[in-house]
Amino acid sequence: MSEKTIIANKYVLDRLIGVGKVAFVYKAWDNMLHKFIAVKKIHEDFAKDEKFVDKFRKEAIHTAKLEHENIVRVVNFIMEGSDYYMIMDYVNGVNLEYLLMKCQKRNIKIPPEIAVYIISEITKALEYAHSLKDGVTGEPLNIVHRDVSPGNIMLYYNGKIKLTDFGIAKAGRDSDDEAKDAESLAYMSPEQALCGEVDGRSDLFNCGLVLYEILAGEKPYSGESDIEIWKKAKSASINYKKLESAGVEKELISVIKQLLSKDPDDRYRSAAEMFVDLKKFLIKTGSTESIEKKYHKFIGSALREEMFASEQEIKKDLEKKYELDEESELPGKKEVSNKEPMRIENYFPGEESFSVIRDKKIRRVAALKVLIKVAVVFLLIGGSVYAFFGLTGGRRDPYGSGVQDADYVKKPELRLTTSPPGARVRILDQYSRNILVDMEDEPVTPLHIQEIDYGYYTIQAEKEGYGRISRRMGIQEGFDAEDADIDIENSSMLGDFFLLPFDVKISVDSRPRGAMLYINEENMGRTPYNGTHEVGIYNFRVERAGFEPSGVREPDLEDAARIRGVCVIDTSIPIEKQVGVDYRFWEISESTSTDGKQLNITGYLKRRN
Amino acid sequence: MSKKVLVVDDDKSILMIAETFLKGKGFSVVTANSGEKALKMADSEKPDIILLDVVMPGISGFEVCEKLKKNRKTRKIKIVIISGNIPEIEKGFDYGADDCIVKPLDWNKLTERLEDL
Repeated sequence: MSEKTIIANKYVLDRLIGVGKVAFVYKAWDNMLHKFIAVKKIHEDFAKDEKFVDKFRKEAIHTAKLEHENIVRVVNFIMEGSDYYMIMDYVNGVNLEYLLMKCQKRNIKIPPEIAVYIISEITKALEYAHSLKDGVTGEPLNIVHRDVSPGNIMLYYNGKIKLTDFGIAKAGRDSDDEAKDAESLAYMSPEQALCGEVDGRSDLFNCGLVLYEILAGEKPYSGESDIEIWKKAKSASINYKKLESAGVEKELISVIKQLLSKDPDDRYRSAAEMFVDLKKFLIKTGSTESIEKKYHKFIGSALREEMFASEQEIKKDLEKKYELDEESELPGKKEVSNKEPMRIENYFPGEESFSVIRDKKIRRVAALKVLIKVAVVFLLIGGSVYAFFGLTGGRRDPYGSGVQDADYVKKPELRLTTSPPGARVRILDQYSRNILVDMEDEPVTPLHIQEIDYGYYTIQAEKEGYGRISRRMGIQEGFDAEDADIDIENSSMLGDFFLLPFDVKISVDSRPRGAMLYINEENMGRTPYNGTHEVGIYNFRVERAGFEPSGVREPDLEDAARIRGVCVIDTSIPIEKQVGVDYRFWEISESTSTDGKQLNITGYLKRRN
Repeated sequence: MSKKVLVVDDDKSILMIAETFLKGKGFSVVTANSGEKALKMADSEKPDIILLDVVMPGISGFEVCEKLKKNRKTRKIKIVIISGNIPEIEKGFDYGADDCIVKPLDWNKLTERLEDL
């Protein structure tokens, strides 16, 4: 039986789904309420910081009071041993940051009314939080989010839009230690940039920045350096011409200008006031179709592959939950053995606000333009003696005695490979320090690190002729390797901000030939078809008048679970890993050479009776 | 010719302030302290704009709004609701309101909004 970390005797950690600056995020199973939840575990370094933990706890208390349909609920805060956990609702969806990234890659323009609708839903959450009063004293709680940004706006597949990470932002970013990295600066109000007092109007400013980004297709503040961005942030220096050239209506630009006024007194006085203008814009642009329906349609189209992957994941999870129930009957404390379980997962640079709650396949989707696949192979820790050969400068003695202790638990081992090999790799720890491997700061793949500290790292790999990749990776104890489901070659969840397109040659044919081919519902003409496509998830369909899908072999039990006629292929993973193909109807083969990958897909049709 | 505004609020002090302020800004003002009176006066006074508090005893502002917008004679009257929170604002727009002023009232802003209608 695999070992599981169980918190408070009822939350069974299932898998890591995000890593941020101050916390790991896990999908977990609530054994009492029988549902999946999200668990945030504060990084060890922060957990040792009493000031931080105290703020985190206080804010958790406030946040737990927030009960609103547009806010991701915090249901518990747990201290167990030296670890701190925040229990939250699980989000079946993606964040706005992901949607923006995907739309940018696919040249999809988010319509202004969709952008306004998303922000108007967030405005509801802010109005509620800003005006919340203490239930006992009646005193205003003065809750300010402080980090309204695309990473914290969650878009559920069922159409709900929610804001997450209330209060955590405050705990992690108080006025005296505002985060000053470029990512944080991009979403700061002038008063935040100047470390001044903030109130709810700062959140409205943040909303304005997000709305600007959705409509302009780029962040309002940009610059060569953090200082340059900070200067723009403190003076609210916004280029509205971008909005004009993007064709944004004057009325909407005027709303954004009011939101982004440098002086808080010139902004809307409250979220409710802001909402009025957003609502009026929606009414003005409205048609017979409600904005909710429009939004559903847009999300359904833009996130089609993710929704499909999510459905598959849900099926898998439903099977898994029984196993988790069984696991959770174990004694509550985590069992640490000499086979310390571990798990490695990774996340996108964009998830640094630690709020991203996304399943593995969704992240895979976001890694469409992967050029080099970093394969991380993790091994269970053995009891044998290893030579000095480590990422951290040799074997670590967890007790600091320098003496090999009988209870010594070896750190995880890590192998990094790339396909093709020979990529120069840089490994940066959470403080952006370059880690030496074999005394080299840029080791070449494949490489083997005998011991690595738990924590999170940025892995950068580069090879001539290929695009650079940058990937985040969290290494956390408490998971069984066999259960970790971390087939990296499969998941290939790489940061994709620096990547060049990795093209796959795709040939599609049909039997009989001459059928109309649709790739992602775009008519590609009649079969046979040959084309080159970026790595990604594609939906193939062939259609010919008078014909219907034909079974090329007898269905088996496994086929029963498949959707008839479907051919959804993630070209970043091998064919044996595909989950969206009905093999009764489709034949797929692939070959990989120095020229790249070639996929051959054939759909079978039979004459309709 | 000045715009005629019907101000509807169950709080008489608000009615007095509104009347004084709006008259000072050149509007012609009539007032009603209940939903029932508002419906009658909308028909008899034929105002250009109705400034309508949504929370009132008896017929609520929402009902007043809905009835006026369904009535052929009064549907063209611009209705501005006065509200304090988003659920009310949404409901007001759903019932056909043309605009909304958020409490606490900013009288200068209110004047601008009424002039723009």
